[in-house]
Amino acid sequence: MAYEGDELLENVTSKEYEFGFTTNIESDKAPAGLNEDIIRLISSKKNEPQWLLDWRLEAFKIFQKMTEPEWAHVKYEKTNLQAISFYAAPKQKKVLNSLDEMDPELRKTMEKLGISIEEQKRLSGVAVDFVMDSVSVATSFKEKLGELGIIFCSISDAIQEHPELVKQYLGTVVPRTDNYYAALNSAVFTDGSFCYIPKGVRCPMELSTYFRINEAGTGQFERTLLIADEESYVSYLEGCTAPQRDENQLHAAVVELVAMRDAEIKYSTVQNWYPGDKDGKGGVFNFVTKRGMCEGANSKISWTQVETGSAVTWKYPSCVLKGDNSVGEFYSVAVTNHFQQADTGTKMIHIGKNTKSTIISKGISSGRSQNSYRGLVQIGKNATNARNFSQCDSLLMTDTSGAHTFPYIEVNNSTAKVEHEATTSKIGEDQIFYCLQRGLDEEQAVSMIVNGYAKDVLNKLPMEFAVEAQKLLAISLEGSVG
Amino acid sequence: MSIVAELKPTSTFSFKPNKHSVSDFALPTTRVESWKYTRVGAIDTTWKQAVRNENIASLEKGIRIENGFIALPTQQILGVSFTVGKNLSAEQQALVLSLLAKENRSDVFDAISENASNDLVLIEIQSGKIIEETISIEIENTLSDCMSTPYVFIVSKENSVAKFTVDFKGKTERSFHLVQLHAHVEQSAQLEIHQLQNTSKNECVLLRESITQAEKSVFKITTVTASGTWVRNELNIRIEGQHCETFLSGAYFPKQDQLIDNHTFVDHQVPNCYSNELYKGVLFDNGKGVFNGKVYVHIDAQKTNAYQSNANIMMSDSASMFTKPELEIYADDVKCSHGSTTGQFDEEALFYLRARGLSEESAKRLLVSAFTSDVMNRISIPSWKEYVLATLIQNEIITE
Repeated sequence: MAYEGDELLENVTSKEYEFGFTTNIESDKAPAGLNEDIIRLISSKKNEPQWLLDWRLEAFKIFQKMTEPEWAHVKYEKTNLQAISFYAAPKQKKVLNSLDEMDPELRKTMEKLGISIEEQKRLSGVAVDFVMDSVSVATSFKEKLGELGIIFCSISDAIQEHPELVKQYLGTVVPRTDNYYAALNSAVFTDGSFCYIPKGVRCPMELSTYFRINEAGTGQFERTLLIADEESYVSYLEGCTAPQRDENQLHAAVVELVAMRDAEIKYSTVQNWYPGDKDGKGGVFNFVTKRGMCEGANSKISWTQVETGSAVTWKYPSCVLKGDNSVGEFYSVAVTNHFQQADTGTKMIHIGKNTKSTIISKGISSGRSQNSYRGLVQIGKNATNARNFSQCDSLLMTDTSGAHTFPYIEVNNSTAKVEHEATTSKIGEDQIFYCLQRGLDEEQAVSMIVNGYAKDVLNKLPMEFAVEAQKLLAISLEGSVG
Repeated sequence: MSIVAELKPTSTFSFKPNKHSVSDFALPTTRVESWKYTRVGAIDTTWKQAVRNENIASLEKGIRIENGFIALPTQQILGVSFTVGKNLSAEQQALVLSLLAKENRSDVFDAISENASNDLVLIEIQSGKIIEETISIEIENTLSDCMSTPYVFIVSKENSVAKFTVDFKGKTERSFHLVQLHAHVEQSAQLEIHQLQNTSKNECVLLRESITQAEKSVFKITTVTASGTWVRNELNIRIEGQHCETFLSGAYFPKQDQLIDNHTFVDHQVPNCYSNELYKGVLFDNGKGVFNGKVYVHIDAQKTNAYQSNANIMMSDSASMFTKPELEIYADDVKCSHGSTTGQFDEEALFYLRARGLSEESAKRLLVSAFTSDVMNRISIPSWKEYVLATLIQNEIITE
């Protein structure tokens, strides 16, 4: 378009990462490299039982036989796993009774992130399980949730306190053999969140975790396990920011969700890790395996994600619809700018009868970025009356960016109804013109159009998150989006 | 490499430089992305090569390719010249090689074609000529256990108009067609190719087509696959000049244990072009369908308008359909969309017809003909359309 496109682009590309700061907390870091000793070290540091160590070592063996996948539409220099440290825990051994006892530096980090715990407690009623680097340092609202029988803690605590639950479910949704990064994560995961909602309980508040990669040259390997027992409901939020680092940092998390009969899980993510600077230097590699299992009948798992960060994203939150009448949903907005690359999408595996899935994916590419949707809809032989609707739209902001769609549709049952549609376009001159006519300036117009474009997904986010997500969207496209 | 017992070029034209040797490659496995859903088991046996036969019954107004060997038409078609491999002039040889060079691919099947090609024909449509008659190409294997590897090159010169029909026949117990068709549509020329594949139950087909289009040219192609045990059509269209129009459509009806695979690739290299793709499938019995359509819009190919649609109907619970409609877009001022559906018949429509006295079988067939009629309507040659429909009726797919 002829209007000051170059100028807008200039503004877009000049925007640097806002949350790029480093907290100088002394951290307890394992020597670089990956071998069995490191795994033993991680396991012993965390006082893990023998079965878990064995599980990790088995995963490491599986990992060694695997090779890094190359099918994604992304180009990057592979991480040298021997050069990164697999364990970095803030040195803080005291057990905290109140927030005042916390390291003031750590408190400051949280405040900079805008999630001051007191404030969270007081105002929004959100229980935050704060993960800094790899060890969970503060857990709030635990007691209140405890009264309902809800277990919400770090996975290391869960391993100590509820080993039977962890043992029963760990690796059942994402087995160690699933893929390269899942195997790696299983071998070296350091911490993450664990959540169990007992039968018939409706979790009264949004559960939330913030991830943050802090130490340079560390990989972050979270493991999240969320189990919703029969007839329960939970909404879980995950937000991510990372400070500015020159080297690429690796993040390979595994998230497992299990929904039993009549249970519902809503999992929302806002991801804003460091995307690298405007020359494509640095940034986080985000290689995440997220999968939900609709185990029981009438269960529902809903993924909502707003992806604005990371240099390379490789992420496919999936649903296995095993229970009859189960429902899977995936709502995503992926924004890429500068030299970011995103290959993201979902998998909907229909196994049970009368299963339904919905996929709404909105990609926005700017700068010189590449944004791909890659999704699988698979209807099994016995999945009668399965229903899927997929919509993948792409919006191109510059002529140097790319938008791609790679949907895989596999249908093995004649009663299935599967629909897929995708469009790619840019913001129309007539749309801009219409807004200008009504007194908006160009930036406001673009902002409004983009927000409207992503609205289908943003509406699915919980209230508190929706505001943050809109802000992130604005920051990510600052200049072209007001 | 077991797929050809003994390789020897039977064509009198040899491809120099001969880039590949068959032994350099293995058969693709399902681990290769473009073969993910297509197992090559059906063709993984030792095929024989036919011996040159000089007494092929020629057609009046078309080419007959029997067991890979080419017989030119007995009558002259004004404005069209046919040249077989041994008669190619140095200039024509260069032309053929330049067309081949546009396909940047190297795998076992190309290596087989290069090393063991049976025969080659170059068809040139003279510039400014409008060919009223339809030029037919008849491809048939008559020997069992044989593999045929012909090459067909078509060059539509500037401002010419021509229509081709390609008829894959076959009555052998078992054989394999490995057919390469390369075409170039020059500036402002129009070329149409209408294909029907109705090989016998145990015949395999791998049809590789590479089309390039120069400025303001129009290219239309329809591919109807009525039968064949293992059929894979690879259609690559490269749009190299601005203001081109491209229409590609197909219909496929896998029955029993048949596999029908359509891979299409539309490469928008330049701005201001239009492409429209429409593929429809009806799957019976244990039939397996694969559709992989890719639209690639290069950087700076602005104002591209690309549309792709794929719809499928599953007639049986044991049929399976694998669809992968892809878009890869590097330009911003484009209109690109695709849609894909897989489902079954509208029960109400079926009920409506049953209520009017149609048997379930004929009601279903009537709905199949309605479902695929938009593809059939793209066949612009009435007699050919009739022939295609008659074949489908004979195969008990549609009703009259």
